[in-house]
Amino acid sequence: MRSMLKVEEIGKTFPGRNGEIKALDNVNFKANGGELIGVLGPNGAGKTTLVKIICGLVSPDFGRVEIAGTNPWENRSRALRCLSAVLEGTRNLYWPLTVRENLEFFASLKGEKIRRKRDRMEWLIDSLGLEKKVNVTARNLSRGMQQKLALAVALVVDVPLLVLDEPTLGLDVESSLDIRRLLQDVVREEEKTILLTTHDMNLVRSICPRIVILNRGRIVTDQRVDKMLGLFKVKAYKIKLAQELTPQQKKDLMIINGVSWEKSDGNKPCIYFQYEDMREFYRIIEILRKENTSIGSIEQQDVDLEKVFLQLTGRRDDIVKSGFARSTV
Amino acid sequence: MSNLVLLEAQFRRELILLKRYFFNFLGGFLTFCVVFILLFLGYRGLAGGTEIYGTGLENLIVGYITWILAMHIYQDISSTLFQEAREGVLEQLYMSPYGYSRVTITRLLASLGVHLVMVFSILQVLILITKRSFNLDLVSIFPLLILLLLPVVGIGFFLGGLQLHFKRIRSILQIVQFLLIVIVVAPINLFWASFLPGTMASHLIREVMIGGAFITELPLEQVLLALFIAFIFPALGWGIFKLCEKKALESGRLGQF
Ligand SMILES: Nc1ncnc2c1ncn2[C@@H]1O[C@H](COP(=O)(O)OP(=O)(O)O)[C@@H](O)[C@H]1O
Ligand SMILES: [Mg+2]
Repeated sequence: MRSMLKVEEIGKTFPGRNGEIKALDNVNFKANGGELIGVLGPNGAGKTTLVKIICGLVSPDFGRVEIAGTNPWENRSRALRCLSAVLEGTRNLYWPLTVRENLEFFASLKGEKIRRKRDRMEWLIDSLGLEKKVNVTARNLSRGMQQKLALAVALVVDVPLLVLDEPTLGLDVESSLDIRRLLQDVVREEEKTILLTTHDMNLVRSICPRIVILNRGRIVTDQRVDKMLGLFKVKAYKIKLAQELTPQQKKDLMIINGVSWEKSDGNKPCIYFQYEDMREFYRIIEILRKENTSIGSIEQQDVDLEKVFLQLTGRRDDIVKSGFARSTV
Repeated sequence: MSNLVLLEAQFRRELILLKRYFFNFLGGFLTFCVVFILLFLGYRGLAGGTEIYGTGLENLIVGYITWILAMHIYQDISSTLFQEAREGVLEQLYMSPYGYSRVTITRLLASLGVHLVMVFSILQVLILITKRSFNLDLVSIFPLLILLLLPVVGIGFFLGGLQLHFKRIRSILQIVQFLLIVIVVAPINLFWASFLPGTMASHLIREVMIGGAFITELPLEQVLLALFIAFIFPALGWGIFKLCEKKALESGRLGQF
């Protein structure tokens, strides 16, 4: 399969108040036609910087980008003809123009005759539920509607690569679902490559088969979701105990990486444990054995994306856990 | 990819906005007329009576309307850039495969179209009020107008570029708007004044509209100087704009205000 997007050894440093900020550090990945990739990372991970470098809006210090075989920093016009983007926030529309006028203007901005895009505009307006708003100016739309329009504007011209920066941030549940649905449709029906960034676990979990986790400017993992969860499952254990831990045991356990405990399963205490090194596993057993704590069972723990993400980024502060999306879409 | 598609889109947008904000437009139009009437009354008072000798009034009228046109074109670059950056659409414009330069140039042409109509209407009103007549030889006037506006476009890009880099220079932008008056009405018998952006061209426009000259009858060295200025200012302005743009792309602050 042809690779639609290549990001090779990208590095970017910004001058900051307290010294330099390494926004991206040796970032590499490739995306093929028809892939929907989620770039997941906490605030400040470098997601927006990555998006802007791909779109030719921030110049990288190192490395190169290829969009359908063209480097936007060498042949800008040709690369940009293969790419549409919805940038962070409400930065994608002409506020004084209506929904329809925005669609028309941005189609022309990509070099397409409006007349040839009529059907597609109608389709986009329909599938995003914008029918009643076609003559409302972007300024007067709700945040959700604005975002839907921004997506419609990005899709009005049939480009092979679509890049979205935090597409559902701050949206109501319904708009967010409409957007997910449309993204899945265009990937399936038009073989588009979509790269979206988010710090919303639920969004990637529900629609992205492949996830790139970015933390402090580095890619910490790049896997298919099922595979990623599988990998972690092998290393994640739950040890059910038959009795309470003693204070001394708790103290000893605390210094081992990746260990936590709590009561569950009929008030029997459990130790959750994710190991990097098998020796740590033996240390836990040793601590339990010393005070003759009997072990009920040892089983593989169920892992979800949240746990993986926390494990990889070590950050709990700003992950969105809205919870509604687990079962939807 | 046809440039016409882009040009048409810019014209369409300009007309939509004109229609949508028609009362703003009308308000602007009326303000310009009223300001002129005040100027005219004051001028008549100074001249001490109803009878005005010489071409002073004609100069005032032509200077006034060329200033209005120059100011709008100037605003169209510098202020629009600010507005687009603030509203956020600037980055999307930068992602057009046409490139930002063509996006801007087509927008300028569309804006020029609309404002020419406006300025021509204002001129008609002024003619009605003052009962003066002008040589409205468009074949001679139009090329000279372009020579007048090109250096102004250069200044617009220069300040637009600085704005990309330094962000907060809005007050400077407004001051320059009024400095344009000086540029447009400065007399060219001051040697240095003839090198100001647009001054020579605006002198030549007066020669045509008031003096009744045809474009080919204008002094060659003056036309050449106007041509030179119409080349050098945009070139400098554009160069500086590109430099600031490069800095903005490096610092990642293109769309940030
Ligand atoms: N234009 C800029 N100037 C200085 N620092 C920046 C700029 N853009 C981003 N940064 C810094 O780079 C890091 C990554 O930012 P960003 O790419 O916006 O992250 P994210 O989108 O993942 O939240 C942050 O520490 C941020 O403060
Ligand atoms: Mg961001």
